[in-house]
Amino acid sequence: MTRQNKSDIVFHVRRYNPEGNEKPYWQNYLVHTETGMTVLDGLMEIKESQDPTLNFRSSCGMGVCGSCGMLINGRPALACSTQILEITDRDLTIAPLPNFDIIKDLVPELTSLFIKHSSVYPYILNNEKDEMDRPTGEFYQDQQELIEYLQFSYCIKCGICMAACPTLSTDPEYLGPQALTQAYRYNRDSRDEGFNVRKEVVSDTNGVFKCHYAGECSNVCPKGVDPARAIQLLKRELVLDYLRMKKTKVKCKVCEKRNGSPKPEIPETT
Amino acid sequence: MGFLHAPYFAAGEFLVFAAFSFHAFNGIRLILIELGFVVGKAEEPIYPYTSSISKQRPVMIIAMIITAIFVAAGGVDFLWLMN
Amino acid sequence: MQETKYWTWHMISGVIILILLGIHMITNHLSSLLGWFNPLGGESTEWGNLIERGKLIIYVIMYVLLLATVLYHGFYGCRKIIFELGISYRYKKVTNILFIIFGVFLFIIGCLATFTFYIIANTAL
Repeated sequence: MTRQNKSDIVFHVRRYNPEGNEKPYWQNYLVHTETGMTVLDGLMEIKESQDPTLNFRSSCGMGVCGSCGMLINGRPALACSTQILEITDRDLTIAPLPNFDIIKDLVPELTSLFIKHSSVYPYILNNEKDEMDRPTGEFYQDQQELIEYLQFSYCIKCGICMAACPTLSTDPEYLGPQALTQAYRYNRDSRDEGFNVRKEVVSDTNGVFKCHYAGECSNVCPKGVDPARAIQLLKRELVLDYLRMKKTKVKCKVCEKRNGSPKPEIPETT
Repeated sequence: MGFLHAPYFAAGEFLVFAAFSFHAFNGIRLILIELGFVVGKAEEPIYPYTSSISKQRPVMIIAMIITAIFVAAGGVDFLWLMN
Repeated sequence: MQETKYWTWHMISGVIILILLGIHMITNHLSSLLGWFNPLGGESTEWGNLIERGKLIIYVIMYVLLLATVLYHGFYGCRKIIFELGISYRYKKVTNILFIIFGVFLFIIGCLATFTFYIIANTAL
């Protein structure tokens, strides 16, 4: 494939069609690239004008939905957030996310991610059932309590951390950084009381203690969630709980006085 | 039991000592980081994002320097024994 | 919760081994330099020094504790490696039981050796 000028980039794309009996293979495309074009723009250009059989996932095109995760020049990243000319000036290699089965071409089977995520009860578990079903007010949460889990709530479930994790590539049964980070996110939320439920899941043989802190998940996360940090803090929570040294959270009441801090003033509307 | 005094046995003992030093100081590093002491607290992520792995890098460097010192000290002792 | 328990004791046993194995290393390799652990002078691994140290019960306690912690720490490490390389669920329970049996067996042999030497040291002329 000959490049006509410097701004032509050769896309080496990993193709795979499960309906045929062939193995995965590489296919090359020549794409005229300009400054500011993302990998997703390049793939769309290929699909629209060169090869409509190319399959890939995309949705928002702005790094908030998590659909377009793929292996770009050997590193898992979001295609819509990766500019072509910032990472290469000749060749661009695109493959589907590793550690997942492949449905077709660049489309990974993310069901395992969602099953592992849902196994850690990723929602607020609170004993006040009446309040959860028919809320009468807000749960009070101060800035300090919010900061403790906010970073980990930015997860967009793209699966890129799971693709980068070396433990997951050796052992597919490992829960993975995404699920463990979300378990920690809900454990730290002051509105949540589900630690005892989640600890049975995360301290299982396939749980948090398989992590060796390679840190690749944090290096590749497109939203700065830092799953490696959440996992180490989760290990600390579990160990302190086992040693009966865990500080118990004061039960979060609905707009009631807590820890000596005054009830927030709700201004009267006139 | 003559092999206990052979030079290759002393070399083997040195390897055990070196492995123990590395395993011990790496283990101390792992206890610190896996209990979350040097990973930092949760913070608002601001682009460009920094990973907590960069916060624990100084601990890794210190652990490896201490290991190198111990292995060198042990090496001197074992070399003397071999002679 | 089982895994949390095993992992916490893996860490605690690691710290205990650091101290006890450190003493063992100093005893065997730095004694002539420091003058510790060789009450009769010379190398600490000579028979006379061994007997003099072996008479004290503290050495028996330290070595039994070192044996227990090393066996636990080592076997938990081996188990973790085997589980991570992937074995099916029903073999995991069998592996756990085999490690426990093997560990207890080695611990008993080690304790017998330690106590036998304690008796020899206290009855030697």
